[in-house]
Amino acid sequence: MTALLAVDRLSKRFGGVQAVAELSFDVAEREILGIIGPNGAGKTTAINLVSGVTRPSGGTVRLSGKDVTGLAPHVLVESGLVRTFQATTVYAARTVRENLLRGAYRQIYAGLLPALLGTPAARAARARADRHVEDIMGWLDLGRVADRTAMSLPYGFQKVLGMAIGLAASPRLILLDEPAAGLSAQETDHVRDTVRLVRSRGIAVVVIDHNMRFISDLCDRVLVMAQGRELARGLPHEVLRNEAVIEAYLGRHYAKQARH
Amino acid sequence: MRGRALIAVVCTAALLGWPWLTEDKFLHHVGVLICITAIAAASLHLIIRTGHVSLGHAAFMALGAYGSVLVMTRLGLPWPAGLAAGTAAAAALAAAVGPIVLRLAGKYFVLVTFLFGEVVRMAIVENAWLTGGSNGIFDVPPPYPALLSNRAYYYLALGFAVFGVGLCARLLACEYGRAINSIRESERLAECSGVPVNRVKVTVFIIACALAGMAGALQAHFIRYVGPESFSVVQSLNLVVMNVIGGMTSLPGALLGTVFMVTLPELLRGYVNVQQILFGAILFATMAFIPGGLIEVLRRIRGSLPGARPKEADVADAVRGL
Repeated sequence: MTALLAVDRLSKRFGGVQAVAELSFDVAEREILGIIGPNGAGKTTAINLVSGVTRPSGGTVRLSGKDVTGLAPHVLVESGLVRTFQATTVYAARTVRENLLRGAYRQIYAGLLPALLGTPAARAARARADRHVEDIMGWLDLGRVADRTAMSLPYGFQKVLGMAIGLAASPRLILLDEPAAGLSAQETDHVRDTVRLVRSRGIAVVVIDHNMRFISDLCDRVLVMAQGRELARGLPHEVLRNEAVIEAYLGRHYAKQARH
Repeated sequence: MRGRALIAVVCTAALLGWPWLTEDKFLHHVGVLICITAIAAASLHLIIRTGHVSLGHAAFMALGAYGSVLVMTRLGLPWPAGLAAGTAAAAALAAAVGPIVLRLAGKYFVLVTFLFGEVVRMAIVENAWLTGGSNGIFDVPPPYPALLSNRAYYYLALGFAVFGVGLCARLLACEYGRAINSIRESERLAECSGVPVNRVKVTVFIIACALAGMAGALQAHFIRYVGPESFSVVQSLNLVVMNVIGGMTSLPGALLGTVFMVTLPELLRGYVNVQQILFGAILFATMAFIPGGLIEVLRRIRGSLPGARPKEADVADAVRGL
């Protein structure tokens, strides 16, 4: 069976810095894969490479077996791959509903002329998008804030909204760049539950984060990166006991202590 | 809903009827200029809504004007052919330039479109065999002899203004407008929601420049003269100012700005020397105190009336500006 996402020896060099080196991983349908690593490990660059925001210097990205390396983000959305951003990225001045309608561009847009003329096809597309957006607000519990502007929401809600905008594009795979960064414990739990909901809808997830508890609670498998390379991979509890991982995070001294 | 229909009827009647309330040809003249300039300002508004402020919009008006005039005078073709050729020439140049310049962001786009406007102006001046050089072309024929009167031309210009401004309004109101707003507010997010950012920008740019070409053609056959100075950077800047004064993210604002900027110089005729200074002062005052422009003033007035509140999103957007 071909994996939903297959990344093979992906590399990116910025001038003299090898940000990502020979990184390979797979994501299966309905899987949650965690990517962790210390600051500067190349996690965000890896997501940028997979989502088309940055063009890789080497390696391939396949979606359901199809080579999509170096395609623009909007083309990848067509293929069912979306991403969120580390810094909260929403249309701040707009309502939650409008944010989601913008995320549902793929459903809502029926071509320039049909949209201009308001043809039945364009109206049908809009009606479908409306239902789709209501549906997403329903299962992510955003319905009660549907008419509030994004910037008036608490930070944790904005994070969930950022995810919801991605989901509005009906992806098969969503890449989450630090969805729990800067959140309180309670908000982190909210995000964790939301990601589980996403998976229960049949959508695969790749999630980057620093928060070990968040990652180990959530992920089926974890990939650890350090200095642009893979350091370890496996089940969360295995990986977190891996000496090399502890060393990368806490330094050699603590790695020795942890062994005893 | 009934109130809206009433307002529409009153506005239509006023736009169609006012030229018969006065025999003053000068007022008719101003009316024509407002209609033509409204097309140009509204089309620039489209580009501004994608997040780019073009300082070369008048160059596309020039292309439409010279194209139309030359097709009529040199080739002896009737006016509709001239208008179509002028509009198409502006669209074609936009299609050639757009994909390159629209990759530039913010101030770099402003600078390059400014230079582009100058290049077009110099190309007109240097190719005197075709364009008449800095002297321009005199005795441009009217579209039809019947349109020699200002009042008659007003109805022609009004018809085109309704079409041109209506097209801009419809484009912004439909789902395409949602994509345009997404791009301005967060290009990165829009792209990651599947919006083909570059294609949308280029398409909007071509439509807007075609409309500018159409406005230029209408202007040339009305003034009955084309010259490079009518389409210099000053005119481009005026179009930007109309949008700023009116409100950068509101099409009705751009129209308000047009009326303001076309009539004000006429009212200030006695003070030619201080005109530019006054313009500058007004521009500064607008940006400092009402960044949302005239349309925000209207909204504030409406908002202070009972039963009406400005939309939070609109105000926030206006305050943020570009």
